[in-house]
Amino acid sequence: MSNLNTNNLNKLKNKSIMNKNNDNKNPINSQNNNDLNSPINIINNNLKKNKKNEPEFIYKIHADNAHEFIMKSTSRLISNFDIFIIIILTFLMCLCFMKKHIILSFLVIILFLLFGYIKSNTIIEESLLVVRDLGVQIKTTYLFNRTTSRFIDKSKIGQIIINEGITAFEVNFYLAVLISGADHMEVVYKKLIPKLKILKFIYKESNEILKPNFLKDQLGLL
Amino acid sequence: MSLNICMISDFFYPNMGGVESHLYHLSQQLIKRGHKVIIVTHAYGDRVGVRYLINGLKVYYIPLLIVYQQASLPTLFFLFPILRYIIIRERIDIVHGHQAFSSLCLEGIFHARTMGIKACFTDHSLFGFADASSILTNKVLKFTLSEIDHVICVSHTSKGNTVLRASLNPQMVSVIPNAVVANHFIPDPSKADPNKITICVVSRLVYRKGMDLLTSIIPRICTQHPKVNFIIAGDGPKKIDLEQMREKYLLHDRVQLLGAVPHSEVKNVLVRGNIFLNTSLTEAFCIGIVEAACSGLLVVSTRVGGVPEVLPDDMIIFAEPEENDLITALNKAITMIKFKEVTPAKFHDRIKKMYSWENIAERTERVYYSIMRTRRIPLIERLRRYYGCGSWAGKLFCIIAAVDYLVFLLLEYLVPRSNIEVVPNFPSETFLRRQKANNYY
Repeated sequence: MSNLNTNNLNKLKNKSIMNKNNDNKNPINSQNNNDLNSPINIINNNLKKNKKNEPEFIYKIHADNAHEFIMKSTSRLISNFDIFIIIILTFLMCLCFMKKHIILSFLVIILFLLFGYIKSNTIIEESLLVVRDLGVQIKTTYLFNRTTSRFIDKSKIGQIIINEGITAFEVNFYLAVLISGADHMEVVYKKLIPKLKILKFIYKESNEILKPNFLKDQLGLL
Repeated sequence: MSLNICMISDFFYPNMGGVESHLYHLSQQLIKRGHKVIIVTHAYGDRVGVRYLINGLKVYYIPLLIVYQQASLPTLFFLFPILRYIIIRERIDIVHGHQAFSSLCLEGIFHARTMGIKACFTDHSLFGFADASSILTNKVLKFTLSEIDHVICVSHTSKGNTVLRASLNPQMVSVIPNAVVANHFIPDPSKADPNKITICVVSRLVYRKGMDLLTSIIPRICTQHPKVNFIIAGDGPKKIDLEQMREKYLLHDRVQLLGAVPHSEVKNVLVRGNIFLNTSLTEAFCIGIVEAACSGLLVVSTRVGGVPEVLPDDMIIFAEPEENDLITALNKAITMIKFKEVTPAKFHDRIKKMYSWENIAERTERVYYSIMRTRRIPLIERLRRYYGCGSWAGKLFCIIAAVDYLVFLLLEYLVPRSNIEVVPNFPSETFLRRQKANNYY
């Protein structure tokens, strides 16, 4: 009897473990949430395997017709390299003060300011907000929570596409918005580039919001 | 078994020429046979990045510096990172380079061999052995072909030439000729002038195409035969000589210079003629004469290079590349047309069976399958092969190969393979099936 019981227990345990595994196999885990204002975190499968700091993908549903796709950087604000440069610059500064070189100290101050300027332009978040009947908004958040955003009217949007581009030594997939009447397209995620799986998800969702019945013409690539 | 093939060459559309159309048609036929083909070339002006041609033929236009007539600057190692990235993301099995004059192709083959990918090379032209540029080109070719799996040449003459230049084993050189799309060149006897005999010349007007010979024989033919006209299409540095000759002998109504003609219009020029004249001084495989015979013209050509292997004897009349012999051959051709001894309009059906791109793709696929069966060579064996290139050059090539291997290891550390996303394949089968259903083919 006890054997049977333990067998049943084992079967139950295995079942629950299998269910958990099945949940994890689905790369996009969305939970049903009654409170529409709280963020729904989508677990990025790759985040667990990566040794480097890869950007994180967050999918917010603000309302039925407004969806936001956010790429958030997970690397530290001041990395080891920055600490190294700060130490070297302070060292130079101290040297200049001790030797009383005025010109060189000005140079070091200028280098400090340059370093501060470059650091303030680091991007910590990039997001795409899609609103049905209104258009899309592309927002980038820099250090110290400074944001710049660009809004594109729905009538001007040709399509949202995934294309491949050749950068210095790499070829990457990127997401872009084709604007009718302009001579160049607007690339959405410039620095924090998501992987192809996430790009496909954003592509499908945003095109469905803007143009319903869009997927009938796809050849099966999705 | 479906293979992933990468064609590398400096020369592709929008540049017009024989190598470009060879690449395009061969790739299309290979896609129809079920393989995946991508093309890597350098950027043309504004055209940079990734483009898709029909049936999912992907073209990578890489931004490189161009030095001379669409050939890119040969930097030894700066091409390696982007090429390695492309090869890994597309899961390439075979790299196929075209045209010895293209440094992108030679470097691509070299880097692919360092990575362990199988490589293949096709040569489209003949080269000399004596002058300075030929000696340098042949040495570089010897370097690249020291360690290649298979070489394809377009004619038996070209095979002999390439084997001698690069000191190859003749058993690993195949001969697969070019082909022509027969549907584009259909004869139309109504377009030719019935009262006159028209001789067509369609070629680049440069020295190696024998334009000096042409300039000297046109006045003699025009005085001998009052009913013969000439149509000359093409552009180049020798156009001035032809215009001067026309002025001198007052042949404005009998010699027509059309200038550069786009490839789609060549057929309309050809059907206006009865005879096609080719005066080149050197030619590996002249696709122009096949196009002309397909359009229903009798061909007169100089007996140089690979030309005797192209057409059967009743479609072509040969001459030595000198003036008097060409005049004799042309007289013979004019007599044959005047007394209707041959009907060139019947050539089209025979050419359609002899030359087709499906046949070329099948033979190339056989070469690819034989390459895939060879084993991977260890590094020491590669260095041994490079060492045998010459007493000074061998050592230099060994150094280059060793540095390339170290660059490869550095790249494997800096840009690991796990970070490179693999590209989803274009669904060519579905696409082709839908095209057939809609009767586009």
